[in-house]
Amino acid sequence: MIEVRGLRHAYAGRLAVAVDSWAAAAGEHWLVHGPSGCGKTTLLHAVAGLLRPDAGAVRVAGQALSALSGGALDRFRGRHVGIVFQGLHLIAALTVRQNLALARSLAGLAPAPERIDRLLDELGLAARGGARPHALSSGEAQRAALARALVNEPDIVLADEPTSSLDDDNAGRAAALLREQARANDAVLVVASHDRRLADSFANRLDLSRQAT
Amino acid sequence: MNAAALAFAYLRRRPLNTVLNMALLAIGVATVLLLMLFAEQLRGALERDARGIDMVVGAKGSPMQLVLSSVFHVDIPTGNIRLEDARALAADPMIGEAIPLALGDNYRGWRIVGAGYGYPELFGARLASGALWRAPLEATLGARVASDSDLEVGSRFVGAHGVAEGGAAHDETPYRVVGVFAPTDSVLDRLILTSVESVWEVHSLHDETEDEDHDDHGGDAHDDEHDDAHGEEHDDAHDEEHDDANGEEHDDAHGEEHDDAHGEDHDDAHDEEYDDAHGGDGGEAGETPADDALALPRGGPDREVTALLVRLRNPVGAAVLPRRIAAETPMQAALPGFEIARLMQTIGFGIDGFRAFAWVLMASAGLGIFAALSGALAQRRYDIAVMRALGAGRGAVLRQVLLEGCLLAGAGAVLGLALGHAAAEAAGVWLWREYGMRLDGLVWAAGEIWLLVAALALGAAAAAVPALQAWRIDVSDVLARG
Repeated sequence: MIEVRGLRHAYAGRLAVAVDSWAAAAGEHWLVHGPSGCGKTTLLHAVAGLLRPDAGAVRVAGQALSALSGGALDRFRGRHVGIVFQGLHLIAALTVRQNLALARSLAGLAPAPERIDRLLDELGLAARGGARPHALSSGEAQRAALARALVNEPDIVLADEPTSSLDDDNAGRAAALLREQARANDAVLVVASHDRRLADSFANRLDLSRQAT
Repeated sequence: MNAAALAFAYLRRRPLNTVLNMALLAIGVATVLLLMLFAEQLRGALERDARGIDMVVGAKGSPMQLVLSSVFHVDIPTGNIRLEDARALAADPMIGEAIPLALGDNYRGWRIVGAGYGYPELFGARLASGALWRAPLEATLGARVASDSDLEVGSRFVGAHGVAEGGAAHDETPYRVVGVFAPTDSVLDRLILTSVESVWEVHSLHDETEDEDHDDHGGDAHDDEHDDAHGEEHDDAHDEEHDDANGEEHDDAHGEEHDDAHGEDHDDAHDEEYDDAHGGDGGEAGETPADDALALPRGGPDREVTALLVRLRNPVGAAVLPRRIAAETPMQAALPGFEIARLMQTIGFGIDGFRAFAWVLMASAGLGIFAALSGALAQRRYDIAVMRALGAGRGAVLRQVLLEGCLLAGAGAVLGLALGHAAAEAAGVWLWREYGMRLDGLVWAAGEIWLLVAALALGAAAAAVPALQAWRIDVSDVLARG
């Protein structure tokens, strides 16, 4: 589902990420870990097609991302990749339900109110669909962000530091929720985190600190 | 969740900013629209009032004043002209028709105009009730006079000297209302028409007592002297001259005479054939020669009228006659079309000033929209980046920001158009009450659609730079920071 070969990317001449070879198969859950600055976020962005790496090849769902033009890459990302951002970044002007609807709309998918309702229900947000992000608790906001990442039924779910601001209980719950939902949606889950509390939760781990530089 | 709903959600998120920019733009649009409606309808009203009049001849003075007073009835006359001079001019082969007007009195501010029957014809006037004036001291009311005053067919009223309220009353020579015109949407609606002879009759003693003054008077002199002299002397002398025709006696006698003369057929006869009625029962018909171009009795050598409304046989007259009249007679000729253009140009300076101010307001609103969107974009960099990460292309976020600018400007423009129409309607009520000018706010102004387009273009222009900034956002960089 995800194949990365010889990936290199630098910011202002400083190498940000280097991955010689990595592959994640359908249904697998991966933890990408390593110290701050080792390139976890850069790797996720390369896999999501948010940046074009300086070197290397990235294939997602059988598609070489480098072969896609800007617009096609945007559409591909919208259809195949769901992302939970480190800062969650729910759109504050919209309600939770509207955030999910927007995700479908931007991906060019038909509105699916039933799917949105089911997701919100599964994530315990059925009563919070009309709430705006500022009215949500941190746990609710985390779940709402996850719901948005899943609403387009993506092949891949990428989560960037999803537990960095959570206490132990909530961090464990968030990780479990991610795995559970990825499994329910039959999606590859890739979590990028330097949070050691997650280390034991993932059988598949990619340690970027050990990748070639 | 479509782009418009998202744009609306963002605008709603900063209500004060949104409302302020909308209001600023709305005021600008409303002001421009109000001026458009005013200028358009003023020109239309002026042209409607001057319809069919190629030239106005009156006493020397300001040609604009002559046109304003004799065509639009909004200024004091420049003075009077001698009937014999008017008659000689009316016989000129270049002149097709000359309609005499005798001004100088009013009833509670409504101007009493002595006129030939050709005058209401200029406006295509029809009688709503009663008949046209025929015998001396009969009057036919404009529609507005009838609706806004206490007069109706059969009423008697006393005119007062001067074209505005406050002059000395002609108590001994009351008029009798014999008809009411249907609305013409012209100046005629605000006038009380009677025969020129009636005006002469009301002022006849004054003419005799002030003979010397009148021989060579100008308009102002006439007005002043007339005001002063008109009171007691007029009343006393008037009684003598019109033994049977004044006061109650006059009313009775006149009423009977009129009834006898016209009876039930009066309405129909005037309605259909009032051209044929010139001079008919005017009381001095015998003095009117059949070939008299003005269809007025000759009267004494000092008979005067205020102006002649002239229809020319061909346009050459407009070039030749004014100069000849100015050079060879004590009169002047003014061309209403030219004076309207001049008036609109004069008013246009003021209108242009207001319009420039309104455009400045709109430009300020544009800057406000730019500032608002730029400021909002700084706060929304993550939102833009998230939208891109969710699948939106660069073009989509660019269009989104442009849409917000256009939505804001469009809403402001629509609000402004509504405000402009409402303001015009409200101003119309006031103008109608104060000046008798109609300003209809519920009409679509020519070019109004372009005002909307201009506002939308302004919104798009104001949003262009923020939209480009949104287009250029480095999604990965922004998301990596947060």
